[in-house]
Amino acid sequence: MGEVEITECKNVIKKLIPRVLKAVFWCLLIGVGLLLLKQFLSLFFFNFYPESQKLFEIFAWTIVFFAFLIKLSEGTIFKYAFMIGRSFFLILYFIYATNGGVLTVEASEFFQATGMHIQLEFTPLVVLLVLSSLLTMVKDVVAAVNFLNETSA
Amino acid sequence: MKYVIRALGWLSRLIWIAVILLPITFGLSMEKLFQPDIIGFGEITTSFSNGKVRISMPFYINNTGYYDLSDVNLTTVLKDSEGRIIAQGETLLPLIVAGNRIDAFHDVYVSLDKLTEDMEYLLLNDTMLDLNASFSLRFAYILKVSLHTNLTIPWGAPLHNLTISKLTYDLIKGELTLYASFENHSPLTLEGNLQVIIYNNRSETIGDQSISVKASSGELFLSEIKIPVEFSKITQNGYVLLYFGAEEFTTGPVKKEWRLSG
Repeated sequence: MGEVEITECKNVIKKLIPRVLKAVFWCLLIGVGLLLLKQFLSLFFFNFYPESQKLFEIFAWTIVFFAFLIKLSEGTIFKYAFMIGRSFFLILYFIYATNGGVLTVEASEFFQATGMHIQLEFTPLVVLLVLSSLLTMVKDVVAAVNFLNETSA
Repeated sequence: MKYVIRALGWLSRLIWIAVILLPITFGLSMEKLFQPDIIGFGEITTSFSNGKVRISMPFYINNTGYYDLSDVNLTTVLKDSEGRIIAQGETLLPLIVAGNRIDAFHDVYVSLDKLTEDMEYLLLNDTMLDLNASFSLRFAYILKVSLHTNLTIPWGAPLHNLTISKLTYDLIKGELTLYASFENHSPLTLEGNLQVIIYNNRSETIGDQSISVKASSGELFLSEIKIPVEFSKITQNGYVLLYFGAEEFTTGPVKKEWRLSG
C-alpha cells in the first residue's frame, strides 16, 4: 500500500470516527428513552397483552438501528434513503402489530373470570398512524430531491 | 421546496401528537369508568305474557368520563348443551353523553312453548347451561370496546325428580293411595295442577285424579292422592302418566312405573 493510500485511509477514518461516535451517542439517547417507555408499559400493559412485549422490542431495536444509520449517513443522500425506509417499515409495522386496528385479548386472568376476552377496534387511530408515516415518507422524498438539487448546483 | 418540506413535517408532527394524546385521554377517561358506582344493577323481576317469561334486570350506567359513549349493547344468550337457545335478550343504548347517567332494563325472554316442546327435559332435570354474554360500547365514536364471556351456569328444574311412590290399595274403600312428589329447583314459585292417570299392566285406564300444586323455590312438594279404582281392574303393577299444567306452561305426559306396596 502506497503512502497516498495510507493517508487517504487515515482521512476517511478521521471523518468516520466522529460520525460513528455521534451516531452511537444519539442511539444511546433514543435507547434510554425507549427503555423508560418499556418500564412504564411493563407496569400494566404487557401483563394485559403479553404479545405486545415482543412487538415493542422489535419496534425499539429497529428504531435504534435506523437512528444509527441516519445519523451516520448525515450529509449524504443515503440519509434520506434510510429515513424513507424507516417510514415504510413503520407503516407495515403499525398495520401488522395492531392487526389492522382490531385486537383481541384473552382477559380471563386479568378479570379473574373464565372464558372472557376483550376486543378493541381502533382502526381510525391506525389510519392516522399510517397517514402520518406516509406524510413523513413524502416529506423525506421531497427533502431528498431538494438535497440532490442543492448538491448538484 | 423548503416550505413544502416544513409544512409536511409540521402536518406529520400534528398527526403524531393527536395520535399520542387521544389514547392517553381515552385511558384517563376509561380509568374514571372503572370506579365504583359507575355501573349498577337493580332487583330482578319476572313476569309472564304471550307464552314467554320475561326476566327483567334494571341497571344504570353513569358516564363520568370525558367522552360520549355510543352504541352501548348488552346481549345475553342462554343455550343448552346441544346449542339450542333457551333464552335471549338484547339491550341497545344509542348514546350516553359525557357527564350523564342513564337508567335502562335488560330483558331476557324465555319461550315456554319452545321449552315444553323441544326441551321438556329442562322442566324435569337439573343440568348445566351455557351463557354467552357480550357487552360493547364505542368511546368518542372512535374506539370500540367489546367484552365477551362464556359461562356455564347451573339450571334448576321446576319439577325435579317428579315421581310417585308408596302405592297401596284399600280393598274396603276400593281406593288406590299414592304419593306424588317433586322438588322445585327453579328460582320461581310453581303453581298449577298435577293430573295423574293410572293404568294397570294391561294398559287399561283404571283411574285419574287432579290435585293443586304450589311449591316455592327450593321447596319439596309431597302430596297424598286417593283415587277410586274398581277391584276388578287393579293389578300388582302398571304405570302412571303425569301431566302438569300452570298458567305459564303445561308439560307431560311423564311416565312412571308403579308397583303395589305390601
